[in-house]
Amino acid sequence: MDMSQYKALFLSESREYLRSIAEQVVALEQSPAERGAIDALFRGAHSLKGMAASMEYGDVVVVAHSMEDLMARVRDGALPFGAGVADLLLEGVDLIDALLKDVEEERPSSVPTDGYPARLAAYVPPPEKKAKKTDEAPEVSSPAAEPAPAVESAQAAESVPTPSAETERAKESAPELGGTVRVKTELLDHLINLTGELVTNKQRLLSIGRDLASPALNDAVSETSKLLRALHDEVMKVRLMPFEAISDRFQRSVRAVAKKSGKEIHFELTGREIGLDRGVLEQLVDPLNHILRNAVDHGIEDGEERERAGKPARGLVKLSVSRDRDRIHITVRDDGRGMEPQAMIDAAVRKGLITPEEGELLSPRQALMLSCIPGFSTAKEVTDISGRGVGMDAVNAAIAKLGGTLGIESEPGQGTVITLKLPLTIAIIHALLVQCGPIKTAIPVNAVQRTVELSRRQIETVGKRQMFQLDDESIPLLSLNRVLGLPLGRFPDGILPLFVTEAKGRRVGMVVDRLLGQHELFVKRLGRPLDGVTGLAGGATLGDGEIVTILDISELL
Amino acid sequence: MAIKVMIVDDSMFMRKMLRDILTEEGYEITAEASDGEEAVAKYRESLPDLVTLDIVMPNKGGIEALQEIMAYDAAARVVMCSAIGQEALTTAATEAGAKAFILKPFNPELVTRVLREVVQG
Repeated sequence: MDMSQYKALFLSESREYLRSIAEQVVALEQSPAERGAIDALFRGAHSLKGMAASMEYGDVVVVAHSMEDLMARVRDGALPFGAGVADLLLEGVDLIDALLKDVEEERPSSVPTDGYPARLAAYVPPPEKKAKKTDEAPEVSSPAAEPAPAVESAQAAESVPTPSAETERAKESAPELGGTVRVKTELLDHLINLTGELVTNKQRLLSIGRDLASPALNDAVSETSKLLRALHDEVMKVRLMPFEAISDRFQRSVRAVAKKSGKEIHFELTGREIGLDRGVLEQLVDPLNHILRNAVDHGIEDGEERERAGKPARGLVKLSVSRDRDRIHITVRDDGRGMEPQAMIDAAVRKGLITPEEGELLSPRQALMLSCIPGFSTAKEVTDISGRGVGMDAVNAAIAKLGGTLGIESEPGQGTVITLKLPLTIAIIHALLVQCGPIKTAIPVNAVQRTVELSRRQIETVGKRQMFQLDDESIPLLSLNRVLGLPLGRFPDGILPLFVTEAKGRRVGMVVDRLLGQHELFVKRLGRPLDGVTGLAGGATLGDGEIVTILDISELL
Repeated sequence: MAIKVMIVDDSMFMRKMLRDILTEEGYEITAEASDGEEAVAKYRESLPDLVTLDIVMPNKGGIEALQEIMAYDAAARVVMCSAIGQEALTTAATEAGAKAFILKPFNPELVTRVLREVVQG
């Protein structure tokens, strides 16, 4: 029997099992007696083993079989589910994941699995904890900590739900029962491309319609336009994947950091079912991981400090995803020590990132955003936990690249909330079109806070800088022409058109020659060699065939 | 007339493989189910001539599903399927009325031979 035809299905289903196993493990740590999760873990390992055996992937069989046996001991009450078991199972998940990658790329397996089965077979829980079955999760109890109240563990179970049989069934049987099909992702990308081209062409029809002043044509175009919007929305929906496609990693990294730093953390996740564009989702993993690690490592205080401050010893980190029309909101909330705006300013001044005078002008909101300036978090503060050389500046840049924004709110002593606002799609965007000297260029509207027409009289000069007042904040003015190396604009009537954007955590007014209004653009990659140019996020064709570049303002400044 | 088969397994991969093997042999797959509860419900609906039933499944395991199917239709022809490790359950399955036991991974020749024997009584 030719098994190669089953390989793709094997890989995708095995990964679903791995994901669910990892989730169940983390869920079980929060409530170790959960019968359903224990059974599900056993079944997951068992099914994996059966599938791998059919494909004759011996290494996977061996690892899955050991996991199954370990879970059989837990299921039969011979072994309590504790941190040690969880570690071993997660190690198995990683092993199989690596093996599957080898299978996928058709190379001989590069991961040694020997030793793993023996360690599982020989595993006995650490003796001193034998009696305290439910207290085995690694986060639990510094000696002073009170046992978690029952309500809290009930919440824990709720917030990390085991995928119910209902959803499991829906996932699996849908292909036969609901008349659905599996589609290659390239095909979807192609559909998006075509839809994008249609949007561009519609703009062209619109401008022809205006030139001809034909009501009949305009009617037809406006109808087409509505249909296109609907088509675009539908195609976009097809590309959406639920947030849970990446969320299990977060549970795991929070768990790992908590363990390493000896803190007790309750991690909550809501909105796992919210759909995001596949492209956005992929780019979110690293930034979110970093924010979460920060929250656990720097945000949450250790148990004793928390109790002194009258807080429960167990820290709370909450990741929630929600949708607000065509924006996705992701928040990471912790109930830790929070951030002190003045301390941020002092640190930035000390590091020579801003002058004391500049520091005085900052609002509390701006002060918190200083953490996103490159160089703010120095190597010295990078621990091996939240380190890896990525600072908040990299996080901020990654979010900006996705067309999103990052906001920080913090109450000293109460905790910190980091909010990411992201577009649902990154293929078709709304952009502000501006004229700078001889060129037209576009800025994604999510990078534009507002546009202003400023009279020269409103400009103040502070030191060498030109500033203006907006919402009680002093905002520096820059010329986009100058940034782009173009001749500066003249403003004979004394009115300067500008848009307000955020760069390095601070608001800036960017003066342009003319604001040309908002357009719907289909973003295309520029390709080599142009995609290496700093500050260029892509290109797009306007309805009249004119090509414009799309700027990445935060990268330019 | 083709023999009507219902395939029950929680893994889509396994169902697809079995479906291909059986279709090749001229069986008609009239129903599939991914857990025990669904299996019992679909048995009543589709009344297949033959059932392949996985043992380890969510939402009601194979043995329990077998008992319910046999209670509903004492003439049901059910073949149990499972991977290594569940042999201990063969006795329970036979007692509950299973006609045969197939070990995963599926060997096409073995599967078709066992099913033929079950059909021919």
